[in-house]
Amino acid sequence: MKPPAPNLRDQALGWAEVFREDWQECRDDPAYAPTKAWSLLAAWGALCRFFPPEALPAEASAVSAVVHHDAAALLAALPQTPEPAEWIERARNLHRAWDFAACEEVVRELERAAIMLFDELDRNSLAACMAARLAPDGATAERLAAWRQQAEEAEGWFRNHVAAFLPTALLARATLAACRSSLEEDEALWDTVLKHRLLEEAAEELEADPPPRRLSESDKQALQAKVDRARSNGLAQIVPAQWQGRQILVFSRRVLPPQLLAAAAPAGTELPELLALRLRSPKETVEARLFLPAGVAPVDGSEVIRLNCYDIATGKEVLAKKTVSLAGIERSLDDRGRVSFTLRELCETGQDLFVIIDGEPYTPESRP
Amino acid sequence: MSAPSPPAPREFFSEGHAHEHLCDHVLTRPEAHDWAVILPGYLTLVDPMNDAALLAVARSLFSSPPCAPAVELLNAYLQSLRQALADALRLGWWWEQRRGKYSEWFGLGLDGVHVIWDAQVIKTGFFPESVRSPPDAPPPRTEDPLPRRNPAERIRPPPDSPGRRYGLFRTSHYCVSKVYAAAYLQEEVWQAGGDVFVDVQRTPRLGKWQQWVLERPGASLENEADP
Repeated sequence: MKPPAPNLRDQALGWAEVFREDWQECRDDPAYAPTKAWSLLAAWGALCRFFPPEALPAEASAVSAVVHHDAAALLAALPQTPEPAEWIERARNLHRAWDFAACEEVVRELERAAIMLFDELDRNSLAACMAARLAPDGATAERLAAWRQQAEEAEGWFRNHVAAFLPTALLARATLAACRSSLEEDEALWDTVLKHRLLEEAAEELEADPPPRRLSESDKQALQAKVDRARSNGLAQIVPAQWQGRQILVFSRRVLPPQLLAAAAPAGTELPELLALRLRSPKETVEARLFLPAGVAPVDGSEVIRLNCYDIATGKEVLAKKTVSLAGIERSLDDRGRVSFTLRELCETGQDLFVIIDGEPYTPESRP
Repeated sequence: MSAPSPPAPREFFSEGHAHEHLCDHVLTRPEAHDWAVILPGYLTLVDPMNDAALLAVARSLFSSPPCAPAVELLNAYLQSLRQALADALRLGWWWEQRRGKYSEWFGLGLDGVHVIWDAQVIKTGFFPESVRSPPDAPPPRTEDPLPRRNPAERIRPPPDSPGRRYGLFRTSHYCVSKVYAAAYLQEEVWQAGGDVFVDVQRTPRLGKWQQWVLERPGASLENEADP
């Protein structure tokens, strides 16, 4: 069937009713009451963002009645839920993980994590906001005050790391659009959508940046021709060579001179890009990847060249402790199947980039 | 519109993938506590409150051969994914999401397992509320088979109560509804099996949920739906 559109107001009404039922069923159960109190207070707050509290839809009247009737029990239960400070720790992990998300599966998982963490942050803030409303004369018990303080700190952390939550920007925008027009008059609740606004603005800034222009077919062909010319000029060129009386293929040492030419370039601050060269074992079970600095960044010869070995079937690093010879320089792979050389070492051997691992010559792949 | 593609017989791209997902979900706290509720025999194989025991089982998956509890948990995990997919298809609790030409299907099972599959394989299954994010720069599994377990995270074992199994479903349904809404707004949802993720009234209450669990093809009245 055609996918149904979510209606955030209807959903807020529905969830509030569900969480009211849950609370009424579990309020006397110390194991469940805290999370049910949290859910109900947050759901009530979400409702009040969409509808004036004094004029909630009839379907929500029971929610409001239960919240006011059970105010003391809800306030006692709320601080026993997981502390919002724990949210910050998980959000930190998300923030760091984005920098290492190299494959599509991980990106999509982090997107889902961003959606759920943003929702949790919002529910923490809504629960804290509505709890303050229920406390007599604004007074709150010490534990509740500490809980609310942590919710505020979590919001503060979010404000400094908005970009980590961009996958939920459209949902935040839709939430803002569904808010009642008079929400601005309710300062505390208005504050809970500040983060939605920040996300919306961050997404708009991204949208305002012109996307990279799509290449026409003729542009692609011209670019490919340029790349091919560069290859024939020496970049990643593969050449025949003799090893122990056998003719094998190796990367030409002419891959190195561009790095040294770059040394004449004006000093820059950019980190060198990496050029990854791939080679395969004779049985095609292991791929060795040779990572060299590339581009026009200045080089002084001390740049590290990495060689990693991966099992082709599983992608895991392999061949720990095996002997490697690169352009005649002998080393041992570490216990993760990795080894390092320096650019100067490779240049000084005067040899092409033979890769011999555990006595077997590896064949270069022509693809990048 | 076409129906969602049935998955191929195998559940993951490779045995290695299956082992990694078992570690990342079934053996990683706090999600391990949720799996202990729905996987038959979990508690007899490993104590989800014992980090060292979980780690030992996980470690054995990357040695040869894996220990018996690891093999049994893997079989139970794969069975639960097949069950979640069957529930999702039977009840219309799925949607198809496209990014470019690539389609994935997202579904929810009655046990609260959020399952994701594509035209070839079931890709993963997890509890969306308790799953933990992939870490930055994880070491090889042979060094750390449970890279998502943050030792600094304070974990409170959830209450052991009869209502927990239904509670897991309800929590997952809430989370998956959020994921659906975000995907819909990104215009990535291509088709859906029903409106359970937008109409909260469609969420089965306890009685209806129990009934549906009992109505599963091949369900055993003695073993299922005991909230």
